[in-house]
Amino acid sequence: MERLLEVRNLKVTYHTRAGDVQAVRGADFHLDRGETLAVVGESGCGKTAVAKAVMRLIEKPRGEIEETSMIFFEGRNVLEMDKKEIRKLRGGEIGMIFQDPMTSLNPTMRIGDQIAESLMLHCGMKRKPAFSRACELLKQVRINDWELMAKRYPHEFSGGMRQRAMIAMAAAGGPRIIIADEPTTALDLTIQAEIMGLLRELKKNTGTSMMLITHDLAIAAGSADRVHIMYAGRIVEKAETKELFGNPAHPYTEALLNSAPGPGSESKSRLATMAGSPPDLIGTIRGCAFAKRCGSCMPICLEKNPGMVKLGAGHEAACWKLIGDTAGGEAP
Amino acid sequence: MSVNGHENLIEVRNLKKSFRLGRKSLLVAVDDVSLSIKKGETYALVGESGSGKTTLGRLMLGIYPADSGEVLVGGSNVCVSGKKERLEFTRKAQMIFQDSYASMNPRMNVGDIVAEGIDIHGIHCGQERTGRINELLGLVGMGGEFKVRFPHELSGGQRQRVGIARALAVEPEFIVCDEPISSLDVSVQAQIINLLIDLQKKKGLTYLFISHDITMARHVSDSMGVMYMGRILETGVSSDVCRRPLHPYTRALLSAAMLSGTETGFEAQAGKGRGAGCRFAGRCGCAKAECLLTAPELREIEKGHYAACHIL
Repeated sequence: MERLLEVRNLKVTYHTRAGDVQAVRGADFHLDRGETLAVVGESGCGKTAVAKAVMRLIEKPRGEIEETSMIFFEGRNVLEMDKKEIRKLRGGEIGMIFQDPMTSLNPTMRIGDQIAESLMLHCGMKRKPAFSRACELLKQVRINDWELMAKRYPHEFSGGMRQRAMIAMAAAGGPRIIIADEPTTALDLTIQAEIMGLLRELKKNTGTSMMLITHDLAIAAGSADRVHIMYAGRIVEKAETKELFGNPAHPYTEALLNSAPGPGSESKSRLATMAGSPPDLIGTIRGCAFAKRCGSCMPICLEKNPGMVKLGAGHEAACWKLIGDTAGGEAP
Repeated sequence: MSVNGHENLIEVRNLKKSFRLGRKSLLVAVDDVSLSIKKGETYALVGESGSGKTTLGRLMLGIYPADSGEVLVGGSNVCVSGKKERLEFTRKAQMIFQDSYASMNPRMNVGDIVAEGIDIHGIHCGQERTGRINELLGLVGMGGEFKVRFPHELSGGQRQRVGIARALAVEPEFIVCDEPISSLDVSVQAQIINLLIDLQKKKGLTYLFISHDITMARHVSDSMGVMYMGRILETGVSSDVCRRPLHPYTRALLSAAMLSGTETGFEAQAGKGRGAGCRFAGRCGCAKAECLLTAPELREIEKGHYAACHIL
C-alpha cells in the first residue's frame, strides 16, 4: 500500500500561562492510501494536537512543534512547507472536519458559498459552476432540498445538517486525506450513526484515507481499519481494529474496554474503573505515564518510560509487562 | 400502575408542560407523561436532545410548574405546595446536574457548596457541620482537603463528585440525575456510575437517571422509558426494553448504540411528525397511513412492557 502520511517523533508544546504543556510527547504513526486510522484517547491526551500538527495549525507563540519532529505527506515534509504549499495542503490535499461545526463555519456566509469558496480556491473553479457543484455536494451528503439549503446560513441548520455541510466542504477540494476530529461527539446517537455511515460512504466512493480522532471506542470499532490508543501525549498501543478489541495488550486499553458496560453485563454491577485521573502534562513525567493508575505496576514502571514492543503483525504496545514477556526484549 | 403509597415513591400522572416560543409557536416539551418509580429503584429516562427528558426531570422536582397533571413524591403533591412545604420537599428530593461547573457558585469553596443544603435547612452548625462535610466528601471518595478548593480547581470527575455530595447533604430519598456522566471521560464515567450504584445500595436511594446513552442507562436502572418529542414511546423493565425492543425508535437507538455507525435507515427529518399522528412517523421505516393520522397510546404489549406504536 502506498504511504500517504508518515509522522515521526512528533512533539507538540503549548505555551500557557501555567507553563509549557507538552501535549504530544513523541508520536510515530503512518497512514496508507484508502485506510481509516482511528486515534482514540480521553480528553487532554493530545489527539487533537496531533491532527492540528499535521495541518500545521499549531503556530507560535501559542504553541510549537519541536524541530526534531517530522511529518511527511506524500514524501514532502509538511514542517518545511512554505505558505503557498500550506494553503494547498489545508482544505485541498487534506480536508478537515471539526467537532463543533458551528464554530468552524462562517456564520455570515451562506452554506453554499462557503463550500464554493473551497472549490474556487483549490480547484480553480469560477463562482457559478462552483456554486452548482456545492449544491451537488450537499445532495451527496443527503441534505434534503439541497438547492434551497445552499442559500441558507449555518444557524438555520440543525447540528447534524451542519456536520453534513462540513463533510461536503471537506470533500470539496478532492482531498487525499480527511481528518475527522470528533465528528459526531456533539450529535445525537441516531444522527451519529448517519454521519459515520456518510463518512464511510464518502471514503468508499472517493478512495480517500481517513484519520478519525475520537474518544469513543465504539465509533472506532465501527469504522477504522487500525486503531491507535493515546495516553498522556504518547501512543501506547497500535493494532488492527479486530486485534485491538479481541486482544488488547496495554493495561490502559484493557481498562478503557472494560469501563463501558457490555450488552450482556449484569445490571447494577460495578464497572471496572481506573483509579485517579490522567497526569498533568505540564513538565516531565517520570516513568510510564499510566503507572499510577495501573493495576500491574512494577518498580521499573515508575523509573523509565517503556518503548514500543512488537507483539505481532501491526500490533505494538508500550508496557514494561510486555517487555518482560517477550524474553528479555529491550526497549528501543 | 397501581397507586400504592408504600411501593411507589414517585407517581407521575398525565404530566404536561409547554413553553411559549414567541407569540404564536408553542413547544410541547412534555406531553401527557405518566410513570412511577418504586422506592430504592432507578428509572432511566432515555432519549435524544430535545426529547423533553430534562424538562420532565425538573417537573418532577417542582422546578417548573406543570401545565396539567400531577407529580406525587411519597404521596404528597409537588406542584401545589406552599413555601414551607416546598422547603420541606427539597429535603426529600435533590438533583445532580449535567454541567457540574455551571451548577456551582464559582466564588464558593467546595466545603460551602456541599454544606449549602445543610445551612439552608439549619441541620448542623459549627463543629458538627465541619464533620458532616468531611463525612460527605469521604462518601464520594474525596478527602477533607478539598474543602478549601474552588470549583475551577477541580477536574470534571471531582466536580461531579462534589455535586453528588451536595445532593446527599440533606439526606434525600429521591435524586434526579440529569446526564451526570455525559461530560466526563470514559474512565471517569465508570467511577461516577459505580459511586451512584454504591450510594443507592448503601442509602436506599431512588433515582431518576436521565441519559442519552442507552447502554449506560440500562446498566444502572431497573426500569426505563424511551422519550421522543415529549412522549414516552416505550417503557418497561430495562433488560426487557433493551433485549426485546418493541418500538422502531428504541430499536434504532439500540442499533446505533451497539454497532455504532451502522445504517439505521433513517433520514433525519427533525421537526416533522409534529401533527396529529405519531411523533416518530416522519423518521419511521414502517410508518403506515394510520401513523400519520392518530397518535398511538402506550399499550401493554408484553407483561409490564409498554409501547406506543400502531404496528405492534
